[in-house]
Amino acid sequence: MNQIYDPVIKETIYSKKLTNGLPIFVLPKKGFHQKYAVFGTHYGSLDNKFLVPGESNLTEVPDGIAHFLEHKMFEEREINIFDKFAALGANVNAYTTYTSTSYLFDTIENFPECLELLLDFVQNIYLTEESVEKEKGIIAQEILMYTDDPDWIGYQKLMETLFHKYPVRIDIAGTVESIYQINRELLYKCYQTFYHPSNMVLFIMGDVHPEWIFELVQKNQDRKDFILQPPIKRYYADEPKGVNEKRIESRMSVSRPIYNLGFKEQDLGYEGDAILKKELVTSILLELLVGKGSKLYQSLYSSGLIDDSFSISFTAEKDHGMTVIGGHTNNPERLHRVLVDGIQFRIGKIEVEEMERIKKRMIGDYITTFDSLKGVGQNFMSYYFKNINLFNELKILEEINSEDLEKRLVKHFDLDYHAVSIIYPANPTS
Amino acid sequence: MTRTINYKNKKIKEGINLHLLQTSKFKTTLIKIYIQERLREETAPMVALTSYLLFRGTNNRPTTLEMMRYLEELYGADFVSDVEKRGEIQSLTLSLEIINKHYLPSGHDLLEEGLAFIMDVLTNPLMKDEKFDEEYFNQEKAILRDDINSLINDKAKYVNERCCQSMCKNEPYGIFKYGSIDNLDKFTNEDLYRYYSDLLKNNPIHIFIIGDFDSANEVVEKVEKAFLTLPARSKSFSPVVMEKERDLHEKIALQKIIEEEDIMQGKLAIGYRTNIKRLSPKYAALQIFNGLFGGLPHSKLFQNVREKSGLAYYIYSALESTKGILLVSSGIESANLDRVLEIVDQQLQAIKNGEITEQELDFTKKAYQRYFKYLSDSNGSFIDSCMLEVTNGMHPSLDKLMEEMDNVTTRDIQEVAKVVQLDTIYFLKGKEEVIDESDI
Repeated sequence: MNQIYDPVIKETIYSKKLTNGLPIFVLPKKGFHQKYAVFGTHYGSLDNKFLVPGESNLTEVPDGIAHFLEHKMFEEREINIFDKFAALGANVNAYTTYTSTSYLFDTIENFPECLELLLDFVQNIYLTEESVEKEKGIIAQEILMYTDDPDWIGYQKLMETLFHKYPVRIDIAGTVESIYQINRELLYKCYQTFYHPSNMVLFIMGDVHPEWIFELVQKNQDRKDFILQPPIKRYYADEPKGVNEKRIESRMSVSRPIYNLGFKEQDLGYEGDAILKKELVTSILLELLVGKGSKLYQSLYSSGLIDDSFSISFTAEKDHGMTVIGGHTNNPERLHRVLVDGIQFRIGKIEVEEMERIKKRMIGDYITTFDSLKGVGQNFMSYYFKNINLFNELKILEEINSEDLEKRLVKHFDLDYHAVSIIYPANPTS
Repeated sequence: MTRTINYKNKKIKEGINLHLLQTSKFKTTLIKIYIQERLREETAPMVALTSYLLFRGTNNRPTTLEMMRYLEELYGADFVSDVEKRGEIQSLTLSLEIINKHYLPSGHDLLEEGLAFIMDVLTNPLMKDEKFDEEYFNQEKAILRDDINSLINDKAKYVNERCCQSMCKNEPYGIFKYGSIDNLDKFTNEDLYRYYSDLLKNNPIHIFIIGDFDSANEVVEKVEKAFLTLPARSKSFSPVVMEKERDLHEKIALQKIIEEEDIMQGKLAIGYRTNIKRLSPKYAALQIFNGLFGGLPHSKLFQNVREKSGLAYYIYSALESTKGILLVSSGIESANLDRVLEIVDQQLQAIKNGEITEQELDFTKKAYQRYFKYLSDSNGSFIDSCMLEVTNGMHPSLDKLMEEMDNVTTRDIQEVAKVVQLDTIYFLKGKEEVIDESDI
């Protein structure tokens, strides 16, 4: 058993890797009623082309299959998984991202029973033709729900302009067309490939004893036969460096335009501390450039070009990444010019003092995260599959200097690699 | 170290109440201030605009830039100013979350600075010549106008709001929490200044502080000092002032409104009057009823509309406890509207007939026990749940309610179902093409 203590937040994380390859992490939280477990696989919507261990031909599957599989995992031969958790007083849920699928429950009572149930239902699959067909109707409604969400569509359209082929340009749930190509055999194949313990991780948080959890999980896994599996080979489309299109405009039922600006990541291939540093450097930089404490943000706000819906985000994965800046505006053209000029203007002008102020803020954000079990769980999952240690954040943050920021500013906010998505109102009012 | 939450109430002066929640389970301290106002057409946008303006600057920190940078210096203290609506009371709220000294590298206590900041925002907004800064006033008025207009962008939220507005056309509850454009255009900067000065002087104030502090008395002293300049006040508001009168035996919906929009999926809201409010002896049974009907994943609506029929991805019911309104929301293919309405009605009838399995009842009770205990795992949710009780004139303790809910019987739930009345069906029809599976 390994353990790491973080003296700032005063928390310890315990870990162990089982013989079948399954890693377990436990973060005890004294005084919380809620106990929380998440069982995740390194398998998301991007993994549509892969080599099944032992096979020589590439397998290609329809878009949205990882998410479809997530829905179907809750079905068992006779019992309903939701009912089983409900009977134990627990709440169960799942979500799929571009790179992972996570199953989670939270409860106050019956934690050991719930944990075994989680392991058992995720490590068992039961599918009937009929239930696969019925799910298509439900998922089609889920896709249509997002189709009516203008903020989501604005983001999705931006992904289409930034990327030529890389599957991040397709919705995690797939399309109504693609999900109708999914069948039982394809779901089985994906399940067999990606739900092996060595491709998964278990994370637990709450008022629990780590040793005791390791023992329970070990016993549970000993009852199951998993043959050691070599790493899965995944293939992603060869993505050109440049953007697909500079700009995309669409129309929807909205009260005013929605503007999104994206910068496509050029500096790829990192994992662990290196990718964490890139994330932190970019986050500091974004706050300096267009955060609420920046002159640019306040002048955009005062001139009526942006409002509280304005947001900034950065995504860093090993094989892709992007910055997205945007919000609702009455004048997307002017917002674009002022924003792009404002960012370029900062080249060579970053001050140590403002960097230190943002760092302080990020220390506060880091500490606050640990008050939310679900928040930590989500961070853990997104970090784990990138080989990032959750507790390394403050250490890396301290190492960052203004030179790192300057370099990143020039490289990442290069106008050659930007794209814009604008949604205009379908029926312009006044 | 206290891992549980200890509650202490202290009247700072008449009409100004401090609610202290002492616990060491969080790494932050959260301060939240409510100023209550009666929900009215004319004043709703005034309260909203004030909440926007308070964020802009004070006489000590006249620009938003200075305010934001100051908060960043306080380790990114999270500051929010907003309006909330509970029953027929609108509240102007300010909240500030700061890191507890035990977790700061310097060990410095930010509570004093935090309190001073929030009081500066509340009592000392940037004013010139008996009005708010003219530039800020105009900018924020334009932003509030856009915000009111942008409700349509989130179709599900829009439909829920429109359903409530149509249901309560002649009751204050039908007023949108940010007010209407018409009323936003009716007042001047000078009017708003006079209005806010009056609000600050006369309206009830509740202050919540939750976190790990060494001495409750010390915090009380700090708050007393901070509120020294604000006078005692005697106003108090009833959370519900007006109800539409209806014959309890009426069975059909009063109105069915169908509008068309350029969307891919129809959005449905069904409004019911439960005729039961927070103080009613039937309130605990109403909560359980809601869980069985549509509030939880094993509920009748979720099971029958989604799991059995595959007609929706989301369908749920939600309760507004203070006004006693229950809203069912779903996203469906427009062609299926009648089928969905029929299934929803069948579920309500089933509960009236007592068709509730022991398992359903057991799951529901367990889910709510968990839900209520979890409230104390989140500082924000805990304050919200306390404020619901306080608004309804109760002591903020959920223990009694939890016990009552545990004792609810099938007969109690049937009694609730019998008084629940369908009021309004609101449907935003999509222009979608019907998905024909044989084509794909």
